Amino acid sequence: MSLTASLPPESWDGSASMRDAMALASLARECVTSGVERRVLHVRLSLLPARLREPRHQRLLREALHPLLRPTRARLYELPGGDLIALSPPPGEHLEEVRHVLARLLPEIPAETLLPVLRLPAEAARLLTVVEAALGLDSAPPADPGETSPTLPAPNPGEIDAARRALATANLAAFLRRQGIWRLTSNDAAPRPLWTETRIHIPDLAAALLPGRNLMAAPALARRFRQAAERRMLAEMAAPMEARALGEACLPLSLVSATEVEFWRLDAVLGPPGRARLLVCIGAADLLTDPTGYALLRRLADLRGWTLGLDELDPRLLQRLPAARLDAALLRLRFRPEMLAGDARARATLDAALPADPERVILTGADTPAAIAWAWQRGITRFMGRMLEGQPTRF
Amino acid sequence: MKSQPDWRAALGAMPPGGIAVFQPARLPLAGRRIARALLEEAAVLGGGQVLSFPGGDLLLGSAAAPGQRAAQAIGGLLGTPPETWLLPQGQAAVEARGLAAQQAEPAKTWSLAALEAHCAALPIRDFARLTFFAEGEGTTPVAQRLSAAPLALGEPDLEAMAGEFLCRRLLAALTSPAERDRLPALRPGLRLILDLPPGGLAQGSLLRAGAADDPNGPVALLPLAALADPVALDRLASGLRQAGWTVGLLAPDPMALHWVAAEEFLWAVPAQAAPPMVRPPRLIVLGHPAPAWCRVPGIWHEGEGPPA
Repeated sequence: MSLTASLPPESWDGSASMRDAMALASLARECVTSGVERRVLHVRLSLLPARLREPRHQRLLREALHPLLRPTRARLYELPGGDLIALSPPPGEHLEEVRHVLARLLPEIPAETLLPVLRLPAEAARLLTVVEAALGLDSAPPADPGETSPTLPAPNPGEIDAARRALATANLAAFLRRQGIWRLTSNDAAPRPLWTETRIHIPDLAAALLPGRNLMAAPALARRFRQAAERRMLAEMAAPMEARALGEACLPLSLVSATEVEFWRLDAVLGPPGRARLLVCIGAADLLTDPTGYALLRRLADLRGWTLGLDELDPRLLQRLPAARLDAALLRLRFRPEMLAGDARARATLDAALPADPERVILTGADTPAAIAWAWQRGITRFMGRMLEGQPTRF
Repeated sequence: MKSQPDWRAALGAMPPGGIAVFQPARLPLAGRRIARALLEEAAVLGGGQVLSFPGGDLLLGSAAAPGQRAAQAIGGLLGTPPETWLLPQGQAAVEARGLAAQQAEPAKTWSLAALEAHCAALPIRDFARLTFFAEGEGTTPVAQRLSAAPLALGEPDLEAMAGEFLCRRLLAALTSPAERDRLPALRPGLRLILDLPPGGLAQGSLLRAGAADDPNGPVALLPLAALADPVALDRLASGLRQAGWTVGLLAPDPMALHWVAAEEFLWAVPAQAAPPMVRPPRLIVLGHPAPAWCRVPGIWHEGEGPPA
């Protein structure tokens, strides 16, 4: 694991612009708390028509800007999406000068629109909005292609019974998906691996074993199907060779599977050192279906030495299951764009539901810089998602 | 258990200084499995074995130290430690326990198809249950609940599946003139508590209960698992409130009151000896007889039914 991990993933470019955006956001906040005044020139290059946004244009603009700013105390930040922010102590005449030069270079768009000037701390909220909009500028990841057609009929219980029998001896290798859980702080050049998650790709497995059926149309049956698949996966993992190779593993399991004979076999084969490296994540839906079982599993995890996490929380569900009231060592929270879009009250409610200790959160679905930025603002540095996955996995 | 070795022979063969640990089956599924695994571990460490009885009771015979440790761990996790006897002194007591355990009915295992068929064939009279609730010190019923009696399957997942199926049958019977007389007779004028399946009622068949947001409207109880999709639950709850219902959540364990922030719902939880640390403004406590802490205003507790 350590060999591949030292290579920075391709999709992670060290992201200077993200770090700039984060620095700007915290600077805006500091101005508010300390009352220090700053003038801000926002160069909205993202508004330019595409024909003016080629690299040579950017270079031209930069060449025009740097001589103006270099002798001053102004600082230049570049946001994801291409906008520039120049920041200077008041009165900031040179910002006005920059504005004139740029307005001459770019006569297509009125300067009020293209080159707004903001005052800190009075307009900190506007600057924060700009920064967050920039962080969200990277196009949203493509939605998962429809994995099962909603027009297919749900399976009946007899079909699930048959599928469960087939699963008892099936080879699941083709249906296992592995993905890293990473640590990434704003000082890291590259993410560092924490755990490797192994999960069964249920839609693919269902397509193979229940062709022509939409398993997700019958949630209760889908749970039974998933449990049978997990038992099989655990049985394969508990083979001594496999168990030794498991390492820092994260297993998303249903509550029922985590007390099955197969899990106990794995627990026994791992022994205390292996268990200390194991993270088991139980879906929040399972906690709601069987609170007694969850409480029991929580105590059991402490007794046996593995870590129990609560899985599949999204912002809405986390507000219903606030961390301060939950007994969970670790939460996996799915990033949703609305976490940036909500009003101040919605954000405060969500923030209040997060654990006091940000080490107890793994942000999943970290597919955009916006997700990373949201997490860093809250001290969260454990991630899963496309932003982190630029490298071939070790399997 | 296939080719069950004779438990008496196995215990008799234990060298002196061993221990017998008897774990009754009366536990929820997760607890049964955990107890079994800890006993199996002790058997490996203590040179003994775990024997299963038909009803799911377990008997471990092993060296004393690992058996004792397993019994303690089970007690710590599940609240009640299993019974233990040092051998050979406890031999007679263990034999008595084993003989009793041998008489138990074999535990039934369900395939999903068999469970569905069972639920479909069950006569309504056998599972429809009408219970009455009083508030505070009073004994006069303030509400009546129509629900499906649990099947005591011992597995929360299967119980939820069967519960949903039977719940749909009750709702269908309520709205069908042909079947309605098979239901227990509802008391006219008494506030109704009605269990609903996780997705609520089928689209378009929202029973209008009265004026929107009537604080005294009948209570629709949704299983707590419905909260797993908060957006769908909010939509469902607001639809029900519009139609005059009060919306409640039915939690299988009062522990959920500590974990879940859903104060705008009425809550229904099974009775426990001690009151929950978090008490919502309106609480229904299920199970009869109700513990003393329930006899305060704001809590509906299950009472005797009215005389027939």
